[in-house]
Amino acid sequence: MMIWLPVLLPAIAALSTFLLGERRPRARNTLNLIAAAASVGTVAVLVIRAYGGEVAVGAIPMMSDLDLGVHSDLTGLLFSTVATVLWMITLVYAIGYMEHAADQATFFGFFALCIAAANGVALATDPVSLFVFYEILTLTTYPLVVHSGTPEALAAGRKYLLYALTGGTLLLLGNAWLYALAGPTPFTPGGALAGVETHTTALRAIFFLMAAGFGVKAAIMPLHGWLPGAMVAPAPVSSLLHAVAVVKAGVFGIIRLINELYGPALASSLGVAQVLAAFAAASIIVASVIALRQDDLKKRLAYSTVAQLSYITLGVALCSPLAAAGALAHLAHHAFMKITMFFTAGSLAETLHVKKLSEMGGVARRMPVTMGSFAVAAFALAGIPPLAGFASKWLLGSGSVEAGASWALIVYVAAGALAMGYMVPILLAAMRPGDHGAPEGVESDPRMLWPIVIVAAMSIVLGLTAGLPGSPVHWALTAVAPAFGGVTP
Amino acid sequence: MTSAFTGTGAFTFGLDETSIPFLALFAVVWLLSGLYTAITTPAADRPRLFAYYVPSAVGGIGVAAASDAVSFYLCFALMALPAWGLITHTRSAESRRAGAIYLTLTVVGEALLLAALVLLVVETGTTSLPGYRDAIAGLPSAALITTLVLATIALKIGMLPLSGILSLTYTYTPAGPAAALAGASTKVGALAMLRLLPAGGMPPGWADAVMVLGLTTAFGAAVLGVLTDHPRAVLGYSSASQMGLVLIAAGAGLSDTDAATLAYGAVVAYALHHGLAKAALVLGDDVVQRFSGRRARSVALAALALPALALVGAPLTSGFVAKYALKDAIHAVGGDISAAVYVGLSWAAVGTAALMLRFFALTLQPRETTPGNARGAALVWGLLLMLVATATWMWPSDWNQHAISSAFSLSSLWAALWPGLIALGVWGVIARVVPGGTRYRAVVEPGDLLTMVARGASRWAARADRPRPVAAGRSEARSSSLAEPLLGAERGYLRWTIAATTFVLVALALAWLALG
Repeated sequence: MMIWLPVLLPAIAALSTFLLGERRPRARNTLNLIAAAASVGTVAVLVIRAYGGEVAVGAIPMMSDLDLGVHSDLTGLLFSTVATVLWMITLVYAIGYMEHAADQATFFGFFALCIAAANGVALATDPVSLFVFYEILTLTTYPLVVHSGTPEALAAGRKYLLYALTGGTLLLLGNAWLYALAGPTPFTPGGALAGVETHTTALRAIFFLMAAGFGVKAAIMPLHGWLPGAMVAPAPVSSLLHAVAVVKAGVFGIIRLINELYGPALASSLGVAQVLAAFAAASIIVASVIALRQDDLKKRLAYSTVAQLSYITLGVALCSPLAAAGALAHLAHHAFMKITMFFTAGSLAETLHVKKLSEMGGVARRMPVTMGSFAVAAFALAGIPPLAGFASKWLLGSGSVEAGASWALIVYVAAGALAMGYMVPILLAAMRPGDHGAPEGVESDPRMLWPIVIVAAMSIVLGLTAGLPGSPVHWALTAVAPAFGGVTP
Repeated sequence: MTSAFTGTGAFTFGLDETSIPFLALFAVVWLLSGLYTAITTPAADRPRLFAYYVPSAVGGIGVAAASDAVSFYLCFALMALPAWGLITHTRSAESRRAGAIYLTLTVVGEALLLAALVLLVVETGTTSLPGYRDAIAGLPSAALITTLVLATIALKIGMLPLSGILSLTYTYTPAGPAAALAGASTKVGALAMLRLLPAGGMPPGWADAVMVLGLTTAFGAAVLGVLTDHPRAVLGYSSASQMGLVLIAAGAGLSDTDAATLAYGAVVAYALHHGLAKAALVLGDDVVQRFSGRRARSVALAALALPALALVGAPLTSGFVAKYALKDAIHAVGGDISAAVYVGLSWAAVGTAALMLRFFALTLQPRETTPGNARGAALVWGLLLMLVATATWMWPSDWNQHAISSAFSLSSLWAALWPGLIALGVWGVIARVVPGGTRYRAVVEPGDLLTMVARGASRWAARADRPRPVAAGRSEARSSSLAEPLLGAERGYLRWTIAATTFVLVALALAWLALG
């Protein structure tokens, strides 16, 4: 039963939120926070047990031999931990951010449902269960993207839905074909397709169908079209969903696809991983270059996200233990770094009505703590040691060499330089002289300020503790080892 | 292959044969330059300056003591990135441009270094820094690693055609921090040569090619330097020229293991000699401006001659020691190329002498400087000069023994003197023939090629960013930057119908593939 709690608790919070409606906002907020704290607690217990080798499994029969199943393996729990911890922090931020907004019940309700779906994606035992949660995630995100109700938001929402549902259809097609070919294929580290390897053409086609399905949320170019537009959503949505839950569900799907459905060896020998790696590498460079020229802060961050997501895709597609571990660790690290930046963008927009780099003059003097936190995250993202981004970039780079793909190492270090190129101008813009009326040093609402400080501090802590058990790096190294024959790299 | 990466918790620092001289040099230079900065910076500017100076100094000193790859990379970045704040301290348009150029090259250099370090760690299986130089030649990626390290060093030391970077950083940075950058920053490049370039074992072509690159830089930077007209820009080009000589030394050790030992000594000798002397020249230029009295000014100018003569390699100076160590290293390589480089070395000294003459001519012109305690400044400078005079002779090592034993032989004295005499002769001609005498106007501006590229780029961007009607929903201004084809494609792609159509077509293609 406990294994279902990470999915059920947010779902219950969502249900209660919808029932409460706009009445009693204080009770609603408290209830959401309690549900988030309980989810974090549950996941923590599952993690401790999983580290001890105890994997819980839960299954609800759907039809014939297909179950809707969840299990608490280390790979899934890493994603789940990131999603629930950041849900709790984002809730605090969102309560401050949405204070005077309309339709808060809709917002918080769907917000919690998204987390339930993301946890389902994280813990799903097989591709079919993963697909079910993946589609729920698509549908529950839509109301959040169109929350403001403006024509721009509605257009972005339509676009998102078209992309995500088409992607979902491809994923379903892939699943159906795979089922016809191999029957139920629960995720197994190292590959679940023993016995059907000879159907190379079919397996290649299925791989690309699924990769395209996941690729939409993972924003692999050219499937990224929905992401920049979706930035019209309120800041907490951009922060948690477009930096963490939704996009990471895509890359997480790719991690499962390669490491635990096909297995790195098969994905590599079929040649499909290499194709995916090429798309990811191209996405990294192209998105980074586009990010260099964005004046709109959130769009700049969005293109940075496209690039960073492909760090993960490329890492897992290299089919080497170190690169795969780097990919999984980067899934966690990037979440903390990027959420810091989207929180900051939200604070600037909400408190100072600043949305573009060209309007940012004086911001650093006005909100030094906020911008200081942003700077930490920016340098972490660019891979400056000893911050979190460095640890995962180092692993990804080492994995590239291990895989005999020095070109991927060059892509990663070039992307690091480009990341400096699109992050430093934001800091310089904030340091330019400028006037924002209010006295210097007055930050935004404390409920928005503290979450920023905490997630920025995590970029430092996760980097410094990268070598310790329980850190994303150590965790990822342990989690991917079975997919490569059980040897901890 | 395994990786010894155990997370970034494993920062290790320690002392070894390489770290000791560099640690001594960096500590002295950052400390004395810091004192000088504190004395000569107006109180109101101090917090802003030291906010960048202190982290840079911590990185700059830590990089010598770092004994694993990650710590080395961390300190390398920690020194280099905050230096941007030192260069742009005056906030003038020129200094901002210099800062932008510096930051760009630094970030590229960091990326190259990171790639080299990752390759080293994975292929050697250890993060321990001191063992790399002996291991590199035997690694599968030896050529790639060496190329990446050389490129990192090229950016750091201002190898042609990037020599302008040093003149840019020296010219716009306040004197104190500029001395730190002059004395320590380029020497991190020398440190990287000893830590990360192979000690012998590479095919002979590597040694020859790198020595030629070094000699080209030594000459080219000297030519560019005499054509500029700011004393510190001249010093910047002189640094690039001198670091070209250090590159020759490092090159000498790439292929031949015996030469590698001598080359190692030569790099250390040059780092100590040039680090101290160049910091003293930068500070001296500023000290001279602070004394208006004729006698005090004359004394200061006379004292300034010491580091200048040292750079030329005059007898009994630190440059004499360094040059001996370098000549021994080149001699050990053998072959036609090294013989040619050996001869070219003496002629490079002519270039250095010309640079020093030009520097003196420009320093003699009074110019404005920050207010501050002239005596305190002179005292700090005096301490540094004492080290310039003594350090390379007193340092306990093998590389200065040859120079000590031949310090008074006639042939070596003549070898050390004639390049200076030739430069003096040419200088006499210039003083009479060229309009403006020895203070002729600049032909090259600080940063040469880099500044031209940066100015061109910003002009281009400014023209491109001129407000034009921007369609709704379009966040970036239209531009004709290098990224424009990409941006244009992306804008077009994001337009609802095109994107949707493409996507549906991709989906149909996949579906057809699936069902077909």
